[in-house]
This record gives sequence, C-alpha cells and structure tokens, in this order.
Amino acid sequence: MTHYRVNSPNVIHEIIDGEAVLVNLESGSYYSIDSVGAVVWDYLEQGLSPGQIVEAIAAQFAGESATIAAGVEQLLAELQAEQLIVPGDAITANGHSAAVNGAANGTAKPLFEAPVLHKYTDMEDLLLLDPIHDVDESGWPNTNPNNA
Amino acid sequence: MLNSIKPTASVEPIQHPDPVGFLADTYEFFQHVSQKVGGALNQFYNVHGHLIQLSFAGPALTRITPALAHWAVEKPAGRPALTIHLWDDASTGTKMPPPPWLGYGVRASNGGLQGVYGKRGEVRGFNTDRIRTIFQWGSNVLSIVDIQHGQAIFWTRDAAQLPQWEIGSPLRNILHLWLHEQGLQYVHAGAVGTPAGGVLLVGKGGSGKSTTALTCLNSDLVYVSDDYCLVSPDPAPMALNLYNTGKVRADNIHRVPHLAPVISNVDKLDQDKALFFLHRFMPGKLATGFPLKAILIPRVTGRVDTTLTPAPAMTGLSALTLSTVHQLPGAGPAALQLIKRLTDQLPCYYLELGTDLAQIPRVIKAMVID
Repeated sequence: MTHYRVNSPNVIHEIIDGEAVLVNLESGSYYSIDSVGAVVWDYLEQGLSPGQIVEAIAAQFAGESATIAAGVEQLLAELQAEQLIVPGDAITANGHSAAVNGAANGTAKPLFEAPVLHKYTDMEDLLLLDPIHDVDESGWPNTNPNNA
Repeated sequence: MLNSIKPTASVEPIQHPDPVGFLADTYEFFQHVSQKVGGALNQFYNVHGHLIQLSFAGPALTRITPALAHWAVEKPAGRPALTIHLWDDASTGTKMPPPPWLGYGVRASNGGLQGVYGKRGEVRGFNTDRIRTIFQWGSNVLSIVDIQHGQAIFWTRDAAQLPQWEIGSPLRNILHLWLHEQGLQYVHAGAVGTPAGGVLLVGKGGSGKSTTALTCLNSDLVYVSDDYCLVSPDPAPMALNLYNTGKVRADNIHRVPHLAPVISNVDKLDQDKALFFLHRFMPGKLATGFPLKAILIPRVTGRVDTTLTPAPAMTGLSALTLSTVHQLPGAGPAALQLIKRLTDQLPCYYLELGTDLAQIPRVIKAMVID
C-alpha cells in the first residue's frame, strides 16, 4: 500500500486542543480535522503506513475493523486530493509501537467515528459545522465557559 | 424547556438569511434597551489613530473596559470610525429576541441539514463581506460587525457571568474583524523589546509566551503583549499593543514574583489565571509598539541557561498562523497573507528557556540590539 508524507513545506500544520489545523500555503486554503482524524494526522506525521495507521486506530478506538479501515482510507484519499499529503517512501516508524502501546492503557476505548476533513476557502466555507447546540427558551445557546 | 435545533426532517434549511436586516433589528432593540435604562453611556478610545466609541446601555458591561483604558480619550470632535453598542439582558431587565435562525438548519455540502453555528462561532448565512456575525462559545457573546459602516453589536445574557478572558482581552472578535480592514492583524502572540526594536513571541497556549513576556517586565525591556497583539507588515514589520493586560496561570505566579502585588483577581485564582492591568501599575513599561526584529518560539528546556537557536522560517509562520486561525472566527486567507508578508521579513529563532529567568530579557535584548 502507498506510503504518504505531509506535503511540507507547502503545508503547515499543528495539533491544537485535539484538533489538527492544516494550512496549504500554495492555495491559501485551510483545514481542520477533529477527534479520530487528528490522531490519524499525528500518525501520518510520525511516518506510519496506511496499514499501520488502521492498526493503531483499531487499537485505540472501538469499532468494526472494516469500518475503521474504510474511514481511514477515505480520509487519506481526501488529504491527498487536497495536496495535504503526497506519496512518499516507506520509512521505519518508531512511533508505531509506541502509538499502539500507548492506546492499551486499560481505559474504555472511545467509539470510532469516521473522520471528516473540513475545508475553509471563503467566508461561507469558513464554517466548520458544529455539533448541534441546545438552546433554552430564549432561543440562544447558553454554553459553559469551561466546556466551550 | 430545551428547544434544540435538530437536523431532522422537520427542520427546514434557512432560505433567505438577511444579515443586514438582522443587524438593523438588533440595533433597534439596543435603542429600546438604552431608552429603558435612561440613555446610552458613551466612552471613546483612540486605538492607533482609529477612534472607537463604546456605547453602553447600562453600566454593567463597562467591566470589560480596563484592558483598553490606556486608549481612553475625552469625547472628540470627530466622528468615530467604529461604534460598538453593548448591553446585557440581566442588568437591564430586558430580553433579547430570539435569533432569526432559530429553528432552522443549513444545507451542508453533503446534502444533509446541520446546525447554523460554526466551530468558532460563525453563524452560517449571516457572514458576508460587509456583515460578520459570531456567537462566541463559552462567553455566550453575540458580536455583529458592519465592516462597511463601522457599526457593531456586543450582547450577552449577563455581564456578571463573562469569563475572565473577556475581561483580559475584550471585544476580541469585533476588534479582530474590524482592525483587519484597517490593515492591522490581530494575532495570538506576545511581544517585548526596546522602543527601537523587539521580538514577537509565538506558539500555542502553554508554550511559555506569557511567562517570557511577563518576566521581561522585571527588566529594562518594554512590553506590548503576552498573548494578543496587533501586527502590521508594511512598510516594515511592527508589533502594536492593544490591551494593557498580562496574565499567568496561578501555579506560575512564583516565576513572576514582581507581579504578585498587582494581581487584580486574587480572590479567583482557584479558577482563573492571575490578571494584571499594567496601565495602572507599570505605565512606563507599556509600549504602543515597536519595529520587529525577529520571531521567537519559546521552548522550555529544563536547563539553567537561556539561549537562541536558529529555526526554519516556516516554523514562525506555522506557529503564528495556526494558533491565530484556530482561535479567531473569520481569520481566513487574507489574514494568512498578511501574516506571511510579516514573517517573510523576519528571522526566526527558538528561545530555549532556561530556569534562570533573569537571563531571558538579557538574551532578548542582546539579540534585538545586535
């Protein structure tokens, strides 16, 4: 299976508060991936192959193997289509065993949710659509500063 | 009773969002609130030559102004470039009408219906080149800015419930969106130096920006910010002050003991960062701005000495762009271009922070003078 690497230096990226924030300097577009997707991005950065990423995600999240493989492969395809990753040489990924071992810490595994790549190109698309927020009788959301 | 906006078949996508009409209706409601409380209380601020008027319906929200107090001016003869209308429901005994998007979803690119609120609070359908509408999660603040006409709305349910970060760096969304149109980019960065030149401190929260900047207050360096400031790339890179505040985690106060006597919120350190208003206690340390000589990325090393290590130029661009984009609604490609023009002109270094804090300002000063 094809290996990938981050398309540096054209792409700058960082994981902030569990969200991978990516900017393609050539196009000016920027992107974010939450949750599982941010973990996938972290593994890509470590040099894991797609197969190793699927294996590591399956060790970390609860879900059907086929569902996890399909979700990861779909994300990789989207990342490649956006030129955020490009095919690269296979490398020995020292982070692989650490990643898998790190997941086996005895706590219940969170449920796998297919990662979604959010793209922002202009004002309308600046919206990373959020989970639905409840509103009270005033019609306005009322969020807790500590949970926002 | 909760009235959730659910992406179900019973929720319709909003068809004809009218951000201009929403702003007009909201302004009309402000006028109603203002009359109810006996008229607006107006304050004026001259921020880098831009006259800004804050028009309060009731005094409750004036609690956000100390961070901007160093820009305050008497009522000027000229017309403000930006007027912000501020009120809350709780202190005025009023009730903001529900938003026009209540009960509607939006059609997502995959065809499904989703909520109208964005991750960073953007309200879908109510953001155009002219009008920006943000609902800030956590502080529950509605901000609307009419970029073209210099009018803005700042509303929240209860001024007393605003989190500390709205006091330390108030009006973030409105100022960020409006000042960008004036060529000033609001960024997540600290800045310290001498009047002749200084450095930008970049990196995500917890990387050491605040500790570095506040440590420099105990030296002969001047201070522009520890967290949020303005930058301008033209004609030469500049860092410009916006707020007169500094803040540090309570468990880091021992690193800046010179600031312990001037903590403004001693009674809340169990839940908030320590907040300082430098304008009150160290006005001579506060600089309006300085030319930038370099970008520094603080890194905690655990070693004794503080040193500088050259860093790839991309590292500074990356750190500054990503932490800014992550936090500020509407920070898009235009902001990226402005930041890139700035970072392209500056060398970048890792500031390898040592445990002997007195070395930090000396290393920065030597680099700036050099």
